[in-house]
Amino acid sequence: MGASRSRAQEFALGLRDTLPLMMGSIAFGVIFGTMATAAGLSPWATMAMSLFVFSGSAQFIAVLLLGSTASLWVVCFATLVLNLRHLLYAATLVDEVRHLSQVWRFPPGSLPHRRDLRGDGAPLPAAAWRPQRALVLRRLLHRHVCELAVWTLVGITVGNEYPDIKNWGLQFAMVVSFIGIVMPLLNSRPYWAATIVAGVVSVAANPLPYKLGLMLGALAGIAVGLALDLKQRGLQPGAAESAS
Amino acid sequence: MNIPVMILGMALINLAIRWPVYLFANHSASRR
Repeated sequence: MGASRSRAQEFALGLRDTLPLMMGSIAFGVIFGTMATAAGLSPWATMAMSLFVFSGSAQFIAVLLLGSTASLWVVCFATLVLNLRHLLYAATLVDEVRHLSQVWRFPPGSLPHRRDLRGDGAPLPAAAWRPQRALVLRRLLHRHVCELAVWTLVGITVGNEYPDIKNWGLQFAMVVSFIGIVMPLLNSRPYWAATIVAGVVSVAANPLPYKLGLMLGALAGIAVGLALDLKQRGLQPGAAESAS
Repeated sequence: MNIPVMILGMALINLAIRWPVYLFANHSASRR
């Protein structure tokens, strides 16, 4: 499939596939840009986070932690905990990159190539375009980056224009968007239990410094969810291996 | 806090999570 598709067609397909992601990026980008500016982050640092960290949730947490004068290690640990899920995302995308050389497996796993950010792709060597499916994957990632960066810039501008924007309660919009992501996924008892336990523990542990209560809640939720999931499977030998 | 170091650290952690999955995937000779 797809062997005869032109670059334009691949680009259009990638665009179509990434449209839902872009919608999310707009909200994330603008809110992150305004919040980071309000938290005292420079425009360059704010843009660098959207371009190189490229992880909405981790970026928001970092900005919140900056406000509570957390240490570098806490920010890094929070990033690790929040983004461990990328391990699963990457695992689902492995088939899209399996046929590539090790060199070409790097872009989807890391930072996009600077030249790719333009979106036209012209400077890339011809060999890079041969794996059609990987092209779509790269387009997916790069368009997403473009959108996030562009809307972060809008957020920075808005944040600079309205310095008191930090009092507008934009943080709540972030919470709502995460609730909107999580709720449709709660389709089994372990998921519900994990969510409730994580919520209760994080609220109970809220007085802990550096937002550690949030991490404690996440770990408690994972532990309970995992335990219930294993129990539900009846601890069948090899169940965990087959799931992986 | 040193902001550039924080950004670099976060970016490297993301890389360390994602890239090894692709790096150690079996190569499919048929598509080469």
